[in-house]
Amino acid sequence: MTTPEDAPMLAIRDLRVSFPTDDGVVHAVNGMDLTLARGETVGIVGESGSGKTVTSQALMGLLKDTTASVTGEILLDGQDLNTLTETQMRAYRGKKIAMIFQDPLSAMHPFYPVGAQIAEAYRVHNNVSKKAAAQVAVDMLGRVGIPDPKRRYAAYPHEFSGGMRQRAMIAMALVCEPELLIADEPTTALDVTVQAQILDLLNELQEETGTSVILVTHDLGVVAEVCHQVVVMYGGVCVEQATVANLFDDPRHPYTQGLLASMPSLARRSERLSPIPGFPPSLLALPDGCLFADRCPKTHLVPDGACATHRPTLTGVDGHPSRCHLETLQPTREVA
Amino acid sequence: MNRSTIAAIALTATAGLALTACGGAKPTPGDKQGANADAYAPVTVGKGFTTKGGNINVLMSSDFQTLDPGNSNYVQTANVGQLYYRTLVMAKETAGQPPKMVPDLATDLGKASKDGLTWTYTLKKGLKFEDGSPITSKDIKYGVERTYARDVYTQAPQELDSALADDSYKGPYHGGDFKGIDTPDDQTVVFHLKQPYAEFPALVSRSNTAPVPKAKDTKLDYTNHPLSSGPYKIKSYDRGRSMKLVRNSNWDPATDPNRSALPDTFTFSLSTAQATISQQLLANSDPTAITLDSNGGLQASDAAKLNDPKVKKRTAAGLLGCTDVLNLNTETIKDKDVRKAMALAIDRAAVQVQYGGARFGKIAQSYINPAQVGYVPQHTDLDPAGKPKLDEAKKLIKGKNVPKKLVYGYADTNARYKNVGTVLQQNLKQLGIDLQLRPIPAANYYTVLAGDQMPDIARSGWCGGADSGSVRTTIDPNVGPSLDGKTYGFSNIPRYHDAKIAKAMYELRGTNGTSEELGKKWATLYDQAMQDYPLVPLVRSYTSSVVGSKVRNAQMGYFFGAIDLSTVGAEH
Amino acid sequence: MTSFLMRRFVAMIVLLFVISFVTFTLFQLGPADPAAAACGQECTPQRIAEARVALGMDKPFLTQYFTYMSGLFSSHMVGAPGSQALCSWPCLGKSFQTNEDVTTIIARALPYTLSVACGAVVLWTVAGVGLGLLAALRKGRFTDKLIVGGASVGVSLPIPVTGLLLLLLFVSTLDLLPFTTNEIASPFGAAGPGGWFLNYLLPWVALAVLFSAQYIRVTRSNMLETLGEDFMRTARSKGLSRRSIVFRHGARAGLTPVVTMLGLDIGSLLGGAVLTETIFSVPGVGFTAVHAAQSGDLPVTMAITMMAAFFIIVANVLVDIAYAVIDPRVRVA
Repeated sequence: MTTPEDAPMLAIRDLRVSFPTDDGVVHAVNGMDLTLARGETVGIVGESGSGKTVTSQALMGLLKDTTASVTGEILLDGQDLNTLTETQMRAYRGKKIAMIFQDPLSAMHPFYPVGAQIAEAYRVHNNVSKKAAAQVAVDMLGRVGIPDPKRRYAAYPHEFSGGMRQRAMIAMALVCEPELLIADEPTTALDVTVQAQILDLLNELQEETGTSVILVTHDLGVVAEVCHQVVVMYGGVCVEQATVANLFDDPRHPYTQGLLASMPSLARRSERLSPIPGFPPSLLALPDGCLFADRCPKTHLVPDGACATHRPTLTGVDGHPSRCHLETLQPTREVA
Repeated sequence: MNRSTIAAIALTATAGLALTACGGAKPTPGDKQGANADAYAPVTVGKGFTTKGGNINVLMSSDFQTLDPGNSNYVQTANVGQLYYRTLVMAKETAGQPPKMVPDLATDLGKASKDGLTWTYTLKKGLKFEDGSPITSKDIKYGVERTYARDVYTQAPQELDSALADDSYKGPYHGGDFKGIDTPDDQTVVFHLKQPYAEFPALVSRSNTAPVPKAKDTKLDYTNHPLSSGPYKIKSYDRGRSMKLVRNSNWDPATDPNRSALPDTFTFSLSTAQATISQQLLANSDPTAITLDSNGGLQASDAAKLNDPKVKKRTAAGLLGCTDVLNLNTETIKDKDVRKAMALAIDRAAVQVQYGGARFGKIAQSYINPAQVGYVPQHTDLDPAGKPKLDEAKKLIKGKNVPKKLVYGYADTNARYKNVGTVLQQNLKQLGIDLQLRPIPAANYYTVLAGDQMPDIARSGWCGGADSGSVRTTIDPNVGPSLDGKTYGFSNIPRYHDAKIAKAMYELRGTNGTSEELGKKWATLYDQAMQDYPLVPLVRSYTSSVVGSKVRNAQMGYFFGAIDLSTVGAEH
Repeated sequence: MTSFLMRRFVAMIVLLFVISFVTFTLFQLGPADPAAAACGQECTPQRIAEARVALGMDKPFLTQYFTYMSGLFSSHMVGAPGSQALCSWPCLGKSFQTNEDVTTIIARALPYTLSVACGAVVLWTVAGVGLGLLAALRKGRFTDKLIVGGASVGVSLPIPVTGLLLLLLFVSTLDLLPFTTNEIASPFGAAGPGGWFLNYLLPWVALAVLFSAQYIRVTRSNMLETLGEDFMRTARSKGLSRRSIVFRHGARAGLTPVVTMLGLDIGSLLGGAVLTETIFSVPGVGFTAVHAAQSGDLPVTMAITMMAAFFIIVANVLVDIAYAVIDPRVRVA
């Protein structure tokens, strides 16, 4: 399959994921759209339960062979991953899309040496000898900044510090030079000083390899630091997508505005945080109208109570769409 | 006993405790004394069979404790011993009857001197051990001498030894020559007694007088291969697993009219689980199989299967000499009326149920029975059907000082004895007695009963003693006085001591006379003693043993409590 | 790792000595007096005293203990003055019942117990772990429910029940298998491996029904826990095949508790499968122990108790070592 150079590397269209449970069907993702260009870093932010992790799992095909129902398109270089079988998907995992996780200690197998786990990841997709794979793993450990990689190759995960472990995880994810790296809360479990180091490392490696990155996080600060694009998720849908600069300067969706307002920053340290009141919608029974309507402070601006009855679509100008009825009411918004 | 009665018994046996709680089994209507006596008649399988050859396969749940005649107190050993050792006199089994004393190695039952203090035996001619060497009086004497080495043989039989002179003899290993026996020549054995002992032939029928050649004595290892003087010898003995007996070519049947020695071989399987034994026998999976396990390896739950006509045809049965009694400690329950009241209050029919029902035992009215030499009719107020006589009991204790609390001790390995305690608990509550149950380690049970820890009530059993055919060896040990006559005897569990009766018994011990005339005196004294209710007869064992379909001449040994090996044969 | 092994080994030796002393004391102070047991119903105090001499129990307690323990290091003479006999190393005394060296008795019983144990262990491990894995991988489906249901039946069936049922069904009724015979102790005997297999099949099945039920439960729950672990997701994210994920990553972690269980179960089984051996008439260690205990055969009872303790302790140490081999996190300790 040939792909035009200017086509996005990854395009997610109307992704819907639901899980049957004893209490009913949980609609975790409800029409998610996302595009990502080669070499770009996009951040997905949202509260827990907003569908960001489920989206990343759907991307990895981790929901195949489970009870989850996944519909929509996940086009990677034009190939719809959602139509692949588990076996076909295996060729993509690790090779074209790789993933790193929140808690590197639990994400690594406790019984195998770190180096061996990296080498294993390499050998899955590269037909080389164990020895050659080991050499690749040692090199990779060096590239992610682990000192004395040859010696550390044989060490076990529990013998690493938290930061080193996450470096090793990154090494494991990048060892096959994937086109897309999904980093699911890669710094949440780390302490603050190490967080910055890991983010720097991700930035460096991304520049070096040209890998596209999806950074899943609830931390807008992290997004500000490393991402080009940001996708804000709420109730399993994308409510706003923008460049980092645009999002911080001009948040358009009331939810994004709320998020930014609740973000502690050095500049506004002394001010009271203003978290968004209320709770996310129940994923078991989604409301007919806007998913954010219950918590939205601006519903009175929309006529006819449309917020409660009609679900808004993702609309907007300047490559900065937002899923809000207010967008359709203000078609001639000024460019900032 | 008709079919439905047996079915009812099977039910009560399995229902066990539940029924006890409701006051025990009801007597079956129309089940008269006469019918009962019939039900306990001996049954021999394939009686009169005389064909030699074939093999008998004996299934046992464990190895013999010992095969050494000088170190054996066990009926199983005595039973198998008939096959490989002979004694001066043999206690010959007849189902349902006490064993009859018949000459074995000796020409007759022994000649007593006038004063009754020496007994002389002459050996038959041509007797040989399995290795062909002759059996002499010295070998008999040496066999007896070994049983005095009690620091070596913990199980040495003592019935004969305690009757002989030279009490302080320590055995042949460091005691030198034994003065209690003379061997004037190779054919003659002369025993010297402390006191006259009318039942002496029974004492020399014990394994003490099995000949052991001094040169072949391997002490405790003798059990691995006792030198045969009988019709069979040990071909192989794999401890804990199997044993094979084959014919002893040096045994001369002309000298031995008592053992029919029908099969060519006996094999013993020594590690068959009891449950498997009863299954194998009931299913006839080996047509030549028998067992020596107690109760024929049967459980109360097998009682129903015994009614299957196919199984019934293969079941040998008979009353044994063993009777269980309840001892009432006369030192703690001093008033004989109270003891009698307790005896009357006990529901012995309910106790019988705990023993497995009528299939496993007959309600006993006395420790002694009419088949024994010297028996005279015994008097008791106990109900022959075992029902309690509560009104009579309550009348007896009116105005009496009845103990509020009593203790029943039981051997802790068998649930049956605890269950008997539960029956007693309910019965004695009727008299206002609170009975407590106390377990006693089974291994030390009788030592505890003989010591300071003797509870107020305890069960014991007796199988007839040194001479199960005579009343004396039941009466003297169980209610008789001590050796000096001044107090109760060592195995007198109820600690019964009536000065007058004790004196009479003490004198009777030293009296010269025949077993018959002396026995009558013993039985009369016993009847007197029993009016004081030192003990309550409970159940006399009735044992059934299923045999394979090719087994013949299988009779239930009165003394052995199992198939008599000396007469059994096999179709082949 | 070496110091880990050394420490475990020393602890094991110390523990064995403590256990030997405790066992010896318990049997000495226990309610059952072998001397009284030896002479039965007409047992006068004099006879008990004589029996005590015959059994070597007239000496002071500590002397008896040291004499007993010295047998572990050298041969020595045992028995009453009248019947001294050599008990060759390793000497655990002579049986009160048969006067055989206790070691001879145990050596005779051990092959039977080993026969019962090895087949049963293989059977229940394969069945238990296999079905447990299957149930975990098919969680919530019919297969899972069937296996879990079967396991809860199996786990509540005591050996006497399964044993007797198997005997009744396969031996008495269907006549498919022979009654267990004590003539076959090992697959190398006259009956050959086939005869051995048939002879021990029912005991194996009886044990396996009970044990595999437990193993199914443990395997299933541990595997389910492991399947939900983050590192399993990682393994999948690497693009590994399902087999590699389940076995190389999942089973290695999920079956660690099974290894512990297996080690301890084998250890206690070698001390004698009392019920199984009794029901199926296998004259192994458990069977021997029961008979020795019933007949007050102190030396045999004690030796088997100590041996069972020995096996369990050794099994514990082996499990510790196995754990250290399997799980590198343990090695630090």
